[in-house]
Amino acid sequence: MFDAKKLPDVLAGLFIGLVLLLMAFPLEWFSGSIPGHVLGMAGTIMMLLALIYPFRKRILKKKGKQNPLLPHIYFGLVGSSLVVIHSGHKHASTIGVLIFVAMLLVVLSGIVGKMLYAKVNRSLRSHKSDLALLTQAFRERREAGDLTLNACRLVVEQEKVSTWEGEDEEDLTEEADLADVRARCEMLGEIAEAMADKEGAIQVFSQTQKYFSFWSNVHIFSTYFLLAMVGVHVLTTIYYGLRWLP
Amino acid sequence: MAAVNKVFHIGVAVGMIVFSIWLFSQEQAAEPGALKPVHEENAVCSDCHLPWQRVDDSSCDGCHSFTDTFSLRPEIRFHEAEEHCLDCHSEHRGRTGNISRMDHTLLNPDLLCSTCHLDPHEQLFGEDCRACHGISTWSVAGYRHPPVDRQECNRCHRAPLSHQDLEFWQRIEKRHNIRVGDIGDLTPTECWKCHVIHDWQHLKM
Repeated sequence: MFDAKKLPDVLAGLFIGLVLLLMAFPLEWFSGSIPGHVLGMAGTIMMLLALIYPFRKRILKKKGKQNPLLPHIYFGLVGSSLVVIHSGHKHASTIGVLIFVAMLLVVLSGIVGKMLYAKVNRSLRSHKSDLALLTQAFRERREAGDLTLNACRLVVEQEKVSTWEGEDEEDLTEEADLADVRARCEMLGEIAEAMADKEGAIQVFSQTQKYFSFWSNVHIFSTYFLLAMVGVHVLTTIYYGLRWLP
Repeated sequence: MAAVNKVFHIGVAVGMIVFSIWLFSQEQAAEPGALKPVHEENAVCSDCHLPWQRVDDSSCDGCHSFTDTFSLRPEIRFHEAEEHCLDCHSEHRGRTGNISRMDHTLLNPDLLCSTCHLDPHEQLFGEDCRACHGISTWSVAGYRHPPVDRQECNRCHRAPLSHQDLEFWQRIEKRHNIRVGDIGDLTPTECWKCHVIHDWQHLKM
């Protein structure tokens, strides 16, 4: 049974496969033919529909479930795949080459960005949730035993004294209480260590999330460039005359 | 920070628009492929491309004329009957690319095939080739060879030159140890004596 969640991966694979296939077997005659033009127009329309997502996100400020990412991925990948077929891997004109490069940048930055963002976000969420649990456990244990950091410090000091000076009778009567405090202190120490690990990981993933903004910028600015080049391509095609127009 | 970001985005967008306008003004940037050297040396873009108009057949007439067809090579004389150059010809297919697409179905139906093609039947079947041949495949639809008992092969087929040569027949006699007849009186019209109809290469000898 096909898993719908895998559809974006399948479409990304289809796009990359088409690029490689047409590199190996170019269809240079196709781009100027009527079916080629139709595919080019269909692909362009789909890629324009993919812009609904950034429009809603950045202009209308709709985020999350109000503005799902999946249609953006579907329109973007299917549209660009149609455009790849339309091109037939004919890269004779400067504008054609620029469009193709811009489209590759847009799609590949989108694919990499999506993978990176999803992974980093998932990990960050998981680490943050673990840290919250650990913090809560740390507080609860400390409050329950009325332990302060000073108490634990005293236990450590006591151990040092015992090690160097030997145990006397008074110490032996308090030994049971001390062992209990020590065990609770050790537990707290372990929780604190785990919290430190989680905080370290959160810092690393937060940094990686900042790197994602680089991919995001590549995606955004290459989209600007692609749009500009598509505009020039469409205008020059009409300006120099479409043979199949009546 | 957000304001700086917004200004940056607007700056990039304006830069893209300026670059696009500049690129649009560069004719070479839109060229979908090189022209044939003869066109590249003798024509400019505006000879064929008028702004915002489709490329028209009339743009070919400026240089190409087919009124005096007898001055043309036989295989291109059919152009006299044609007006729609762009149905078959398109440029920008590279310096060595083929700018012609020969499609017989697009030709004027009144055009005689013999204008361009030699008739291998030597007019034995008349001039209307289309009566038997399909125009796109040239195959003869529904053709059946006359029955095997027909002995008038020479109505359609001519004996090859080898069959006019005495030495040829002497070799045949020697090799197959047969007597063809009085060689001096032999007329190579009795094909059926040696050849079988269903397989011309297969001989009865």
